Amino acid sequence: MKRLLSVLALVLGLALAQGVVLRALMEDVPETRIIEALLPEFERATGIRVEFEVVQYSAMHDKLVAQLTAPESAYDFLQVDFLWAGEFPAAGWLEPLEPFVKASGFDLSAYFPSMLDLVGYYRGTLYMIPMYNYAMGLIYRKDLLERKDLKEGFQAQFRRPLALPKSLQEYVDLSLFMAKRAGVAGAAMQGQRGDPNFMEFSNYLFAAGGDYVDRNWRVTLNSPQGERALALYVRNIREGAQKGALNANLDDTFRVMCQGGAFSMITYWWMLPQLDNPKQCSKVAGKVALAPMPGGAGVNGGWGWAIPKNGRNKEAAWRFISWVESKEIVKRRALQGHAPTRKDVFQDPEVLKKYPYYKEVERILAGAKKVPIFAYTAEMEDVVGREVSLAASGRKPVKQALQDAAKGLEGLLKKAGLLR
Amino acid sequence: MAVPGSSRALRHLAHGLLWAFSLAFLLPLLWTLRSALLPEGQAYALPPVWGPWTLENFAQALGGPIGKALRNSLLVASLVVLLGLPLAAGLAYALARYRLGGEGLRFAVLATQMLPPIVLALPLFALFRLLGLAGTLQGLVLAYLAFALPFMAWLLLGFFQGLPRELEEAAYVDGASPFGVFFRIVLPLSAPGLFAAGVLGFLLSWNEFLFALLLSGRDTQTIPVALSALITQRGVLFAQVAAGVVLSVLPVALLARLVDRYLVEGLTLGAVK
Amino acid sequence: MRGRQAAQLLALPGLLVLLGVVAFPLLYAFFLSLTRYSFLRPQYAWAGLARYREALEDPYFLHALGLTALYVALTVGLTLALGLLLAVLLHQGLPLRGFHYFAVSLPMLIAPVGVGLIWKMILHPELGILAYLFGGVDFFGDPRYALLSLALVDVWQQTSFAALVLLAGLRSLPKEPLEAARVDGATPWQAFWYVTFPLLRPVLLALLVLQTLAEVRTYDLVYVLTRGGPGSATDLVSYYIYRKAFLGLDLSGAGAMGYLLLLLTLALVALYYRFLTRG
Repeated sequence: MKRLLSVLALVLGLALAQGVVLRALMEDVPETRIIEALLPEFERATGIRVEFEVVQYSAMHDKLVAQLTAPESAYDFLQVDFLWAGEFPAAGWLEPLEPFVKASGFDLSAYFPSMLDLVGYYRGTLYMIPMYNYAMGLIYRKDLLERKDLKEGFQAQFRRPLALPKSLQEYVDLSLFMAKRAGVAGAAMQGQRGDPNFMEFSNYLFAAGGDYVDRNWRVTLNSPQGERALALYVRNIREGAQKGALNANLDDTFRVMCQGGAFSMITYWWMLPQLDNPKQCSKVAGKVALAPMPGGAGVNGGWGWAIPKNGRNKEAAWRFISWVESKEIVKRRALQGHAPTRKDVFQDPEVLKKYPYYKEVERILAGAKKVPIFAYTAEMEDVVGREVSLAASGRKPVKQALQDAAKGLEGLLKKAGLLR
Repeated sequence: MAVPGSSRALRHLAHGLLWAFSLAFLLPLLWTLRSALLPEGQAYALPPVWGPWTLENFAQALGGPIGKALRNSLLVASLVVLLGLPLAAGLAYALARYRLGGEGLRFAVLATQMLPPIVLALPLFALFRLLGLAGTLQGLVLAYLAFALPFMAWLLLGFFQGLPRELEEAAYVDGASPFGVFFRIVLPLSAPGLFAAGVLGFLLSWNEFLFALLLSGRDTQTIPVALSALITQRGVLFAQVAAGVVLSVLPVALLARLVDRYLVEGLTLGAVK
Repeated sequence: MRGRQAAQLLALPGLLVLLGVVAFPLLYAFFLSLTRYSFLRPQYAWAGLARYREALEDPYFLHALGLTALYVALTVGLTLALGLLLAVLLHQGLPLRGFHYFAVSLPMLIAPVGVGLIWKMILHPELGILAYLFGGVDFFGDPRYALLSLALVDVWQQTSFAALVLLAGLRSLPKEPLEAARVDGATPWQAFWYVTFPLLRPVLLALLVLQTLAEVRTYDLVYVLTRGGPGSATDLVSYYIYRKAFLGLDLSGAGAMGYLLLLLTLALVALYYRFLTRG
């Protein structure tokens, strides 16, 4: 009976939704254009028009916060980055989605648990539906691994064949080897303080078997694994990375890799099609490949759909979200190049034929770990990033930097009320 | 300071130094122009390429958000100057000649600008949303007016203080009213200062980022916001940034030179009877 | 007295605008700084001066203040010196004056985002033209040079504006004192130092204050070029406060720091006036 009532409410909401205009702030990336192209179909099917305001990433958070703290939000649904996936629910700005899911029979099992953990649930309540993934893995030059002189040199030095590294130590060894012998940087690293170096370092941390916090939010960063990770990170950025790595951001590392200046890059998996594109990167197209982070666990990243609590057209917004994340629409987006977050679409043969490297992406996604998602995730990036940058520039010893980072993180967790 | 009869060597040195400065300012911009005329992938290739030349970046810039932003920025900045300059001149003159409010008011006027913009941005945004001004160009003009006003007044204060009082006093002796003195003697004599203050007001609006970001909507973006939109997650579109910069700088610089030559120099020469 | 009333009338419109649009956020921000307001707990829990005390005990905030003091001294000093030199040169009536004026006026018109991006690419240690021609210095990635590099890019832009303002100042000067000096046989240097410079003082001082405030506010360039790094080598205070508000979601803390900054800046400006307006 209750279910019938909720369905009726939904249908009533839908009826009232005719003639409604939904607005959203979207990131200026090709994926948004792909969805935009499908919007007229949605309007024909439901009578609801959707308008996107497209901005670049660094403007999004500030604009969203300004709207979410106002009495009524100008945006009816949101595209939320994982970095804010703790902040927004903690501030009470998002509408819980379980009632909508139940009422419309939306199937959550199609999503990878790692995605729902990242951009879905916050402390047990569902606030978001995953819409895009950008987990991190290893992109490397397979042609350099095939070079005879390098193979011989490597065998001579390490007494094992030149191959994809299986652990963090092996990776850094390989990177330093390439820097010395192959005439390129061993790794294109994004050492700029903040999001760039924090995301990159987190891969090292996870690969070494470390983590930021345990299940009860106690800080485990300054463990022996954490120390090993930071020491290896510092070694790689000082001896194996490109010039200027300490201030390099994603854009810089992409350019270096694109010009053939580095052997490897620990980065977002979507960099692969960018690098493998002969029009954009003629020097390396066809020579690059993707693999999970050596050690198996890389950093997860992604975006999710959400509905603001102070929004106006919540039912219509849910109608859009359930439509754009339905299997059929996700598959059509995928065939245009918008990577999915649904398992069924990832394994669809048509999609795999067009994008064979999705097999690797799925492996990466399945094993990806998340950094702590809470109210101050963005500030954590800055605090930990600062300490990592200080260690990398030689201004602080590794042990001290790690301890200060752990202390900083602890302070933030306490501020968020997760630690006593 | 052009004291005729100074040695030729000094003059040559001065000429050389001036060229050094001009080149220091021009060369990076010429380099940027070069990048703007190349396709995106080639703009920063090494060794530097000198072709294939293309106008696609300019076409894209003009037809896209930059073109609209250019119009918005011009409109907003011009309005701020047109509305703000008279207000600032009035305020500055009152402070300079009549010591209105004494030292206290002078500092209070300036103190409003000593807070980092971020502290004021969110309350201002909330206020504007209440007034229905968020996302409008009028709202932006109002916000910029409020911030440019103290600066323009402060600069004009300096110019007014440097004016010799004899001319004004002579006018009073002749029976002129305070308003007459202000409008017919002080203002024409301060033409260079007014121009400088106008430039200041223009620049503050032209280059401001934070308020423009928060208060702008889809169609009311200004140039700093539109330029920063070229910093995408997939990389910075440098060739387009270069085109955007060239487009936003050249016409205004030409305009500045014209205003300076015909308006300011003309007024100054005319005022010194 | 009629003059006084006239003065009040002249000043009134300006003051009204200021009051309306600026006073409210100013007062609200001050009020916030006395509470424990954050985005996550949007309640006005009274905190008195606690936020101010916390700011003064925050080593990173103090570091940012010290760094900013150094940065302001460097940039303002260089900008005014170079700007004055350039203004004097432009005032000489040398050939091609229009062209030089046009060239000098260009940098100030570029949005700081644009300035940052242009110089980022020119100074890039791997992909920049300077690196290509002269070998790469890691301008922004080396903690020893990062602040200096930031300052140089800033000065490049600000000198453009300073030169034009000081040129306007030079043009506003009465001609008589200089002619009198020439008649008295003064050298160009003496004429400048004893006649022109003192007359230019009010404008110079006004510009000094404007530039000081502008440099204290520097955060656009930091955002585009270094994000405060490497380490905290370029963590200027305005950028620090910006992060406190938007990353730390802490409007009260940011407000307290902002007002502390205001007090310090006010003190600095008062010092300028104490020592530079005599005689």
